[in-house]
Amino acid sequence: MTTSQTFKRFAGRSASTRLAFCAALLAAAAGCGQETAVTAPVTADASIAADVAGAADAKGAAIAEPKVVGAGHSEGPYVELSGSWSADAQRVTITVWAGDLPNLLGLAAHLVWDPAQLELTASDALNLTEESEASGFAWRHVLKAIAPGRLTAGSARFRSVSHPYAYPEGAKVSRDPWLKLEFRVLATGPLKIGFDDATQLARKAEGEFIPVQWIGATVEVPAGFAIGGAP
Amino acid sequence: MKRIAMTLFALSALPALPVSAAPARKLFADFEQLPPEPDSAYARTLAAHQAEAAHRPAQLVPTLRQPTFLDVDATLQWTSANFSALGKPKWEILHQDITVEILPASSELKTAIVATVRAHQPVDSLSLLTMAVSAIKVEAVDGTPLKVSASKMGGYSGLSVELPAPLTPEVDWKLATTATAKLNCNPQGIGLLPCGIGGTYQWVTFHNYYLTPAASHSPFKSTLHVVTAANKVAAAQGIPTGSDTLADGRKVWHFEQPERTENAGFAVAEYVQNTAKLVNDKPLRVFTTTKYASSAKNMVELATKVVGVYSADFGDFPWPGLNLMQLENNFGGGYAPLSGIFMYRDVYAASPGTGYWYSTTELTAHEIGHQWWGNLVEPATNGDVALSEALAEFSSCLYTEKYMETRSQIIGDNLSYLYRVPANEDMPVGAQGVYGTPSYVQIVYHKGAAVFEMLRNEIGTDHVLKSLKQFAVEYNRDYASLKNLQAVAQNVSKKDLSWFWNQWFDKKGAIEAEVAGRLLVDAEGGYVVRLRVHQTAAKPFRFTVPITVDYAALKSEVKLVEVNPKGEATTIVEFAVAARPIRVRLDVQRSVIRKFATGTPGDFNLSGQVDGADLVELALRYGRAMRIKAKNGQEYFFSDSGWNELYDLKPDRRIDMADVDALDQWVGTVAEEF
Ligand SMILES: [Zn+2]
Repeated sequence: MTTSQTFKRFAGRSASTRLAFCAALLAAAAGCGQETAVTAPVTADASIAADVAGAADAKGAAIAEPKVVGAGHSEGPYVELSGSWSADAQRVTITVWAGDLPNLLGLAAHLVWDPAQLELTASDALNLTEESEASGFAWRHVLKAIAPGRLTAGSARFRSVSHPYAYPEGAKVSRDPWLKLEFRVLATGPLKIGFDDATQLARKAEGEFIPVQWIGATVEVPAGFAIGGAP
Repeated sequence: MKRIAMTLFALSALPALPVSAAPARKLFADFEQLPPEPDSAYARTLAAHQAEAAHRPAQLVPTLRQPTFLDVDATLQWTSANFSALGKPKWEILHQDITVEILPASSELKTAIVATVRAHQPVDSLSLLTMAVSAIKVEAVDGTPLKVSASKMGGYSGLSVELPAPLTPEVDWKLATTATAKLNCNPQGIGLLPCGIGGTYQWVTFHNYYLTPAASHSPFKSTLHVVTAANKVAAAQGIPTGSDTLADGRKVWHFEQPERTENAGFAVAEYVQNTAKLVNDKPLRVFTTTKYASSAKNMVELATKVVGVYSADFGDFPWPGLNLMQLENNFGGGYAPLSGIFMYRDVYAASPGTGYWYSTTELTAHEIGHQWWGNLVEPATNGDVALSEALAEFSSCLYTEKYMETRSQIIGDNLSYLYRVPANEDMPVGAQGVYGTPSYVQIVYHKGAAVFEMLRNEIGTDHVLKSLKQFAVEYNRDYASLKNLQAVAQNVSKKDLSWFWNQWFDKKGAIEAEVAGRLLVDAEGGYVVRLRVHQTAAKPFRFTVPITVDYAALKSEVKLVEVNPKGEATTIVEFAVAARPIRVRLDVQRSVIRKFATGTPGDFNLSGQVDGADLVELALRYGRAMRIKAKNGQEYFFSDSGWNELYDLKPDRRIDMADVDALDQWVGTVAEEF
């Protein structure tokens, strides 16, 4: 990833989301709180690179790796998980997908898992449609671990300009990644990651609720798998 | 293409922030007096109401504000039909036979009045008021000249007439006046007779100053004769009884007003009539110029429908008929004497389905409302003017809610009071001096209507309507006070409403509260919503607020929740809900005169925690604003019926990116325990 790509990637998001995110979650991490939107991700990327190097060294003998199993969605709007084991990072990486949403203003849910089994080590929310100054819209995200084993995620599409004659407008989401998550494995066996029923919602720009299939997934960690991974 | 960048973080130290750790924050935007956005629906409504308000003459003669006869003996029992609230005067004018003619060339109005006077005690002189006259002659009807002294009283003339012999009680006697008055026309004339002498329309509205013994409250029956040029037609309230042609070709148009009233006016133009039948076959006549004859059919339909609806809601249309008169556009609004309504030109051009139709309907329904409120039942004092204006406006709001299927009128009225009245201009709706505040319209018309709207939350719409109907029956052709209406509403609802009347009519202000929510599980596993309402006012408001609870599977219910602080700043209320709610919403229809702020900052859905769902709620309100910036940079007041200050987290009367930004810091916050 080049710096300029990184910049473009984050230009679509607001600097303040990024800063607040840093302030809340990374208070102890050097170089976060005062970072600008441009440089913050560079720091993050550098950290990942360091992780990868360390993880490669730490990797033990070849045994069966964890895998992520999702139920798959039926026809109609859905939010579902897919993922895989990253041997390099020694992490389970999860993508939360949103799809078949013809007029989406925003969606939100709490992701839940057993904190004794999985530890969230990274998370990011993505724009569900490509927006720019030209499109006149921008996605804004809320993403925060609010308790052990609980992550609140919310994304909504806002106009760049706020004006009483300009009403909210939804976007067509065919199938796009919404969240990227990384977990450290703390246990073996089937480890569930799902959505708290009472927190799931997706809304049209007119306010109407969209019935969505919220589908969790299971991380299957084989017995004998060396839990933990890179710190 | 979307790229991914991962951010590392540690989960170890993430206690939910208690809200008490928050720095003191501003809850509501500061007051700012911005001009209304030109050509907006709000600007039209405000102009119409202000134009109408200018027709109240009480302002003109401040020393004569008291609603009593100049010459009243309160110890006597008043036995004539109705108007019992007046007290029995020593003498009164029962009837006036009035001939008027506008002289456009000299801007003069000629009047000749024969007044039938009845004394209830021996009187040897009469004090009268009339318009400011430059020449006047008073004589007994047999031609005996009477000695009269005139004095200027504001924009009016006070007359003192010496009688040749004391009047014999209960024997009618007649006096005649002829006068010429210089008209200095101002369509919304404050300090002047509202009038217009244009090329198309010539008109005068008098309120009660044809000839009257009192500054207010001296109703009389009348016969009106309007002299016009040969090619013109006169229109007025009352029953048109035909016309005659004078020897010189001019015409005289006759109107009979069989009801005692003090509201009157007339207009002259090349009018044509559209007619229809109202309920009970009473005639509706709509007078417009030829150009508007075709489009005025929409007005005929509208007026017929509104009269029908009000007849069902408030009791039968009380008058022999209703005449609608078209005036010039700068008349700006409406004026509704008994059985007649004057409205500005363009409302007769409006047609359903256009933007203008909505303003037209609001105004027409308000003016027709005055046939009950202000004419059938008249406010006893200046402090009771809400019985005329607030009830006319409330009636109109009920009409547009039901038949235009929008609450934008009542919401606009609510917001108009909340956002347009500076603290130093605020007065109680029922204050005797309320007409004196520059915010009179926003307080009496707009807040007043919103207060009656709140009464629906307290006693239910059915009981509100039943109370109004009962009130119109009990006080028909009489004067009434706000307290009289309270008594009727209490009787109908079987509820003590003294606190409501005291809080909303005798006191000024509006609810300002921080509301925090928590979701609890009771011993049986059922869900309970608990709300903490915190008010900072010295005397916290008692109110009933509709709360909408939304569940999964698109189910919702509305609960009416009473907040009764009993003097305490903080009130805790709770209610059981059928399942775990997705969100809890306060006063979705803005039926309460309030400003709410989130007690757990950013917890818009009152779930007890600030999370992603609150961002989505915010997205739905994004863009709503009570201010608007024009292309030239000028900021205007904007009335946004979708406005909800709850979402104005960084308060500036605009729900914008600053509020989205402000939400970030609160994500994860859980409501403190209460
Ligand atoms: Zn009115």
